Amino acid sequence: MTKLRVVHYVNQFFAGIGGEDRASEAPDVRAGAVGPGQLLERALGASAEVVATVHCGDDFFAEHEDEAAATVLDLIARHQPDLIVAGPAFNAGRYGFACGRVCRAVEETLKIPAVTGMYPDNPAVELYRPSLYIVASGPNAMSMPATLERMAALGLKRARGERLGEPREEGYLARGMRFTEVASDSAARRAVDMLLASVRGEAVLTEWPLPDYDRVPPPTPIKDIRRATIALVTSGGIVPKGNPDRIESTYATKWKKYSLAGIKALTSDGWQSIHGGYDTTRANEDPNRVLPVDVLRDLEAEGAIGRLLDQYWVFVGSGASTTNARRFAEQMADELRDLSVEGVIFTAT
Amino acid sequence: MKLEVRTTAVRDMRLSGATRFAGGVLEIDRGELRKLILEDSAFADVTLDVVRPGDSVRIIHVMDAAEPRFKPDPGSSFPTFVGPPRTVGEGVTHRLSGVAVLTASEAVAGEPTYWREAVVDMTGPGAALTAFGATTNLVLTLRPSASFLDTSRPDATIENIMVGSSLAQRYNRSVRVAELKTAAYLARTVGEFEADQIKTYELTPAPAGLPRVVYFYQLSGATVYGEPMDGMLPTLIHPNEVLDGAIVNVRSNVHASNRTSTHANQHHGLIEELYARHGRDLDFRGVIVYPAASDDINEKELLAEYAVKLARMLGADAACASYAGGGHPAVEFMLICRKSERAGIRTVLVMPEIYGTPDDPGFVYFVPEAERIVSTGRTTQVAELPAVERVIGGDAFFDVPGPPGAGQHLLYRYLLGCGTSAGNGRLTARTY
Repeated sequence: MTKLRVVHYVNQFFAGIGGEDRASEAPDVRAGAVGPGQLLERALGASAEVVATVHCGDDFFAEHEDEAAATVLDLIARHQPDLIVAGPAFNAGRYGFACGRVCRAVEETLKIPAVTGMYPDNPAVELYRPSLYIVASGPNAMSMPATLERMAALGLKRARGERLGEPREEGYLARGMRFTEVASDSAARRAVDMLLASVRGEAVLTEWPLPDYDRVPPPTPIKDIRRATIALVTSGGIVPKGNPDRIESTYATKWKKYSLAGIKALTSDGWQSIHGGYDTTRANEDPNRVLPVDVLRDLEAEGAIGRLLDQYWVFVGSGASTTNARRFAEQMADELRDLSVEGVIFTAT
Repeated sequence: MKLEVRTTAVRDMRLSGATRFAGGVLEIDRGELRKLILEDSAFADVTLDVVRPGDSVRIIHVMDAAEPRFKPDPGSSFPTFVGPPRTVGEGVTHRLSGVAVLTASEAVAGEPTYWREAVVDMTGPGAALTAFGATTNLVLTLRPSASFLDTSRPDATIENIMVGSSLAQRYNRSVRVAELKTAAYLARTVGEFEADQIKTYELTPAPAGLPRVVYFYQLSGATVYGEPMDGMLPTLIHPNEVLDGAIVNVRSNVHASNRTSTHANQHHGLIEELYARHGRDLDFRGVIVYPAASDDINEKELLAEYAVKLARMLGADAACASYAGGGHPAVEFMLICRKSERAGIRTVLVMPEIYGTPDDPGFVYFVPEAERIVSTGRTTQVAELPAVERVIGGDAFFDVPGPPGAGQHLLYRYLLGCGTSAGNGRLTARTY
């Protein structure tokens, strides 16, 4: 049986070239395993070998990231590997970013599996954990042998296309991907077991960890609202009657914008809500309750705001994934900025 | 309150010229049953099919399901739908095991369908994910009468897109009446025979010192004794009542995966589990039912306050809570978790994951107190289902293109009861 070919990526220090004084070294390659690569090779066992070690100075990578990544990728590709192992980078930020960039480039461009290792607080973890397999290491090289053992085991599984276990079994940092599986007991049994264990004071493991959403800091206040252009955006599903663009009532994949030119107030004859997640009776009686065109036209007439933008943006929030919602927000924000809108009233339901 | 459930095992079910039960085989008089169902002018016709585990059959447009049960006098089978409004959960109930009655129909005028599709596969991986893949099912495919398809009628107008027109609500109720009449009709036939098994449900006093557990049961699209819970404060119900036909699903526009069918109430996983451990591991104090609220935050707060107060009145120090699914219901559900934990009641949540892509955290709303969650599966994941020889219930899916009998990459969301928060199923989700 032919051995799996592994290329190891390390920085200038672990390649044995030197410390901070040699951090500007350009990418290069050596045959076989170097430094910690020997530990890696031992951990990989008889079925795999480290065919080359590609290295680059941390400063060089940080300062010429695109160029360094392209060169490293080329050096790796020449050895036709089955697996790339990068690091571990422990808590070193620049080294961590280099390992992450190299692994992602390898997976995306060469379609070869990659594994790296980092301390969970390494700043590169936040950027790369959703897309890479990062084995959790200690903060420094004390944890080198144990980390390489886990990286080797995980790397072999990935190179062989084997199914991976849960993050805590395999030792990698959870990427946050949720997948449905069949448990050995019913949900009812698991719930009562969890409850009783918890009442007994035992530590219990939730099956669904709470998320850690990002927070958006509020922008600076509008300088002069009496001159500002204000736009309306809604996730409340107010559309022209009959829903001409077939906006989805739930699980939104798209948004639309409609003109408000010459419209003093929305009417129940011309507009409706097609939102699938709330009682739309009141919104359909008077669509201004969700998209307050009437009040904003009054404010415009009074001079309380500069003007109401003559179009509004709409989608349905019910069931929309945060991935889609983020995309909608970016697209809408671009358009709003191009139209010099200074303030947005976003109505949700 | 003592309920005696007398179970008779049904090995097979067949349509024939007379209704009778012999040797474990239930024969059904097709003509008599059709007549019983078509008493209701809501239906122009009904097609009866019997399908068995392993059959190459896919049932689509499923609305609800029920297990055949019958309560002899002075009891009432499925009160207000079949029998008079009498308290259930006590006395005798005849039950047929191994069989179920399923209802399927096209949508009527003003009936929303964006969450309505529900699929039961009798073969392949889909069959393993639903209770109805393991039962012999009598499927009633109901054809609405012309008046229910007339979109020009004033009562066909949708005022609230979630529940649909008042015409659609009436039709949904008629479908349940047809289903439950059939369920009672079948069980009454067999009820004269000696039961194979007798099981008694009674909350006898538990030894002191056991954790006192309540169950917060969030209802969506369901009625209690025929009454919709909308706008009502939380109330107490005995677990026996839930198991004995007091809670009936009446709305089909609820995700199929977590739709708590009438059948899932008759076999409510959490209630059965709490019962099984009552007196040994815990002291089961009761069930608090409450509606998924409207869109008013004050109403949500009040619901949560009131539900937790009832739990405190029951002396609870631990609780299970199940989430019906949906956006608004997540809020009062999580508020109950917060208030319950703050009242010193340790709370475990049972929740389907109905939103988002795999990289989406999937929560609509949560509180930091929600530290103990049992997942009933991410329903936006795809299940691969094989092509089948025969499709029952309709000609085309509501919102999935292509012929329904072909091989399908269907979301778990469409598979009836695969992830109900009653906890009957074994699905979960894990983070990778």
